[in-house]
Amino acid sequence: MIQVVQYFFFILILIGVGLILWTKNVIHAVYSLALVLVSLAGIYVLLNAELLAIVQILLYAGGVVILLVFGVMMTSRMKGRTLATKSKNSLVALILSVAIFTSLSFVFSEVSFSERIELHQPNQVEDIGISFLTDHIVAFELIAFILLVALVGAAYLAKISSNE
Amino acid sequence: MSMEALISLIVLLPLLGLGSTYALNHSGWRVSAAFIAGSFFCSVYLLFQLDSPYMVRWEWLPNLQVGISADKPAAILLALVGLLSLLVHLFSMEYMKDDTAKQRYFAKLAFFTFSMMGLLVSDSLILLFVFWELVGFSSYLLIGFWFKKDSAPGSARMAFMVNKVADVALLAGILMLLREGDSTFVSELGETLFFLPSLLIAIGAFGKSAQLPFSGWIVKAMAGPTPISALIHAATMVAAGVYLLFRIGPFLDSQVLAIVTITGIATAMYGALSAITQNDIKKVLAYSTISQLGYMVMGIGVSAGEASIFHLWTHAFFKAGLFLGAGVVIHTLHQRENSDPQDMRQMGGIRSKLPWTFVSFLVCSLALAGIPFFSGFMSKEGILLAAWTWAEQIGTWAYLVPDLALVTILITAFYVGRLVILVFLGESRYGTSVDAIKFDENAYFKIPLTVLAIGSIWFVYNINPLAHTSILDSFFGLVSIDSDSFIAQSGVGISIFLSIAGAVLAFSLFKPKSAFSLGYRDNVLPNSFGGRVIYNGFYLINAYRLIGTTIHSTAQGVTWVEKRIDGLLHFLAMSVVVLAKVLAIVDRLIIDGIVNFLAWIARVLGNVTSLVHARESQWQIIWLLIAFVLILSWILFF
Amino acid sequence: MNELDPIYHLYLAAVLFSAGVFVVMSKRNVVFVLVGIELILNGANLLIATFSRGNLNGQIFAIFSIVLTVCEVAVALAILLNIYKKYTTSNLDEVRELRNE
Repeated sequence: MIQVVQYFFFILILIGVGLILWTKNVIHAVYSLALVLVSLAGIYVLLNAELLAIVQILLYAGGVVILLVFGVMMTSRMKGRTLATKSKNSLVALILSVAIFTSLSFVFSEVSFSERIELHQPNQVEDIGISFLTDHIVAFELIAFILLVALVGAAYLAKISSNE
Repeated sequence: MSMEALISLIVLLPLLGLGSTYALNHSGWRVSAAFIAGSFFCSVYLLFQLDSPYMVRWEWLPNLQVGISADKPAAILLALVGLLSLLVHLFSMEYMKDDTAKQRYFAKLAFFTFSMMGLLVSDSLILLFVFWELVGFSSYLLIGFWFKKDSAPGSARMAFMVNKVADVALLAGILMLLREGDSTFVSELGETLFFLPSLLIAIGAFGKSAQLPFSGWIVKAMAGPTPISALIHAATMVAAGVYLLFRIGPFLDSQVLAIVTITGIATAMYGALSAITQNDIKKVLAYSTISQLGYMVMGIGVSAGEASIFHLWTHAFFKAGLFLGAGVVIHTLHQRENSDPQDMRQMGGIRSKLPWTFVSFLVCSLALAGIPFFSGFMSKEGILLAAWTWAEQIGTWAYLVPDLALVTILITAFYVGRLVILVFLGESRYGTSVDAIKFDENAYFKIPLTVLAIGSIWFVYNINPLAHTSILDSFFGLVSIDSDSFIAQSGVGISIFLSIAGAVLAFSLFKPKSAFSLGYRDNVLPNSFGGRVIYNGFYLINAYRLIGTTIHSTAQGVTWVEKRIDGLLHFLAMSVVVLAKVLAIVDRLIIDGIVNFLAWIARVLGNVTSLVHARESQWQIIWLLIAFVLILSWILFF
Repeated sequence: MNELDPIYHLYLAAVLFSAGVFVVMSKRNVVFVLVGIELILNGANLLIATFSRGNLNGQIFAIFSIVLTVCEVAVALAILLNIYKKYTTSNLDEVRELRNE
C-alpha cells in the first residue's frame, strides 16, 4: 500500500522535473517547481520526517515559490522576453549532468541499507525542538542570525532598486 | 801614354763619335768617322806597345769584381775591328749619301764599334756578357735600320730573339760558374770546366756565330744595309762567338769539344749546300758566312783555336770585301725601278761596267774558295791540318770531320764560282735600257775595296803562298802544327785539287753562253725535292716560325684555360655567396620559424586554456562541474 | 508492510540533483537558474533525509538547509531586481559588465 503511495509521489516528482527541463516558459517552470516541492513533502512524510515535510511546505512551497513568482513578474515586462531561445550550452550541460548522474548513481549503488527500525515517535516535533535548543544550539542561533542579516540585506537591496 | 789611357781611348772614342753625330747636325757623321779612325790608330799603336798582357780590375758591385785585359789576341782583334769599322764608315759615306736618316745610321755604327771593342777587352765573363748583349742590341738596331721596309723589323726581331735564346744559355753557364765559386775571369781559367757550364757557354757562342740550330737569323738579317752586313755579319759580330770559344776552348770539357766539332762541321755543310741554288746575292754571301763560321767553330773543337782565329782574320777581309763589292752592285742597280737590285737573275755582264769592283770581288772570292796564292787558302789549311791531326788521335769515326771539310771546300768553290760568273760575266740581264743606269765607282767605294782585296792576298801574311802560318802567328799564339805526316800532306794536296775542281765545275756549268746562263733570267725556283730543300735553307727559318706560333698558340691556350679557371672561380665565388644567402634565408625561416612556432603553440594553448575563464557565468559553473565530475570519477574508479 | 527500497530515494535524489545542474548550466533566464538551484538543494535535502535512520539528525539539518535556502533566494531576488533595473534584461548572456573586460 505504502509502495503505491511512494510510487505516486515519485511519479509526481518526475513529472515535475520533466516539466521544468523541457519548458521554455519560466512561469511554468516555477509552477512545476511548486509541484515538485509539494511532492517531496509527501515523500518526507513517508520517511517519517513529519516536521521536515511541514517546514518544506511552509517555507519552500509557500515562501520561495512566491518569491520566484514575484521575481518573474517584475522582470519580464517585455513581451516575448520570457521565452528564452534555445540555449547553446545545452549539449555540454546534458553531457555533464548525465555524467554527474552516472557517477552519483555509481556511488549510491554500493550503499546498503540495514533493516529499517520502525521508529514511531509521537513526540517528534517536541524532540526536534528540544534538540534544537540543546544539541544544536550554536547552529540554531547562527541560522537565526544569518536569517536576520539576509532579510535585512535583501530589504535594503530592494529598497535601492526601487528608489532609483 | 799609359796603358789605361790607351785602352780607354780605343774603346771610348767611338762613343764620342756617337755623340758627335747628334751634336753636330750637319757633318756630325763625318766627324764620327774621324773618331773611329782615331780609335783604329790607337789600337795599332797598342799593338806595338804591348809586351805582356795588361789587366786592370775594379769592383762593380759589392762582391762582384770585373776587369779588362789586353793581351795579344785581343789587341790584334781590336785593330781588325777598328780597321773594318773605318773602311765601312768610308764606304757608307757614299752608300748612304742620299739617305735621310744618315745621322741615325752613323750613330748606330759608332755604338756598335764601341760595343765590339768593349767585348774584345773584357776579361770578366760578366762584363763580356754585358758587351755581348750590347753587340746584339746594336745589331738589332742596324738590321732594322730601314724600319719602314716590310721585311726589316721582322728580321731584326728574329735576329734579336734567336740570339736571346742562346744568350740565356750563356748567362746560365756564367752563373753556374759563379755559383761554383770558379773564377769568372777569362785570364784565370786554368782547369777544365764541368760539362754543363761548358755546354751552356758553347751554346751561347753558337747563337752569336750562327751555328746550327741558330743559323736562321743571318739570312734574314740581309734586310739591313749592305755595309752593315759587311761589318757585322761578315767580320766582327759573328766573330764574337768564335772569339769567346777561342778564349774558353782550351778549358772546355772533352765531350763538349766533340759537340762543338760536330756542330761546326754540320753548319759548314749546311751553309755550303744552301748557298748553291740561291738567287739573291746577299743570301749567297749569308750562307757562305754560315759555312765559314762553321769551319772556324770546327777548328776550335779540334783544339786548333789559334788556326781558327787566323781564319777569322782572313775571313773578315775577304768576306767584307765580297759584301762591299755586292754593295756597289746593289747601289748601282738601285737606280732601276720595280725590280729587286739584289736578284742575280737581273745581273750579269757587269764586269765591263764596274771593273774595279770586279777585280776586288774576284780576289776576295778566290780567297773564299781557298785557291792557293790567296789568304783564305792559308787559313783553311791551318784548320784542315789540325783536323787531320785530331782525327789521327781520336780514331776511325773522327776522320769524317776532315772528309766533310774537304767536301765543303769543293762545294764552296762551286758556289763561289757560280756567284762570280752570274753576277759579273756573261750577258747583261740587268735591264732593258742600259743607258738609264749610271755606273760609277766612287773613291769612297774604291778605297775600302782595295784595302780589303789586298788583305786577301798571300804576300801580306807569308812569303810562301802555300804555307799555313803567317806573320800574325805571334799575335795569335799559334804554334806550328806538325805537318809532316803523309795524310796531312796529301790532305793539303787534295784540298787544292778540290777547290780548283769546284771552280772549274762552276765555270763549265754557268759559263757565259751556256744553256743555264742563257735561260737564267727567267729561271724559276728549283723543282726537285733536294733543290727545294737547299733553296729554302733546309727550312730552318720556317722551323723558327713554327716554334714561335706554337708558343703563341700555347700561350693563347693557356690564356683560354685561365679564363675558364677565372670563370670557374668567379662562379664558385658567386655560388658561395648564393649559398650564404640561401643559408641566411633558411636560418631565418627555419630557426626563427621554430621559435615562432613554439611561441605560436604557447599562444594557442594559452588561448585555449583561457576559455576556462569564460565570459558567461554559466560556463564558469560548467567548468566547475566538469572538474567535480573528473575528480569524482578519479576517486571512484582509480 | 513492504517498503520501497530506500535506494530508490537515493536515485531520485540524484535525478533531482542532475536535473538541477542541467537547468543551472543551460537556461538563460535568471529566474530559471534560481529554479534549478532549488532543485539541487532539494535533491540534497532528500538525500540527507533518506540517510537519517534511527535518529532525527537528518531532519534537523534538512530544516537548517531549507532556512538557508530561503535567505539565499531572497538576496538573489534583490540582486536580480537591481540588475534588471540596470540592464532591462534578465538574459544572462547579456549581463557582462560585472567582469573586467
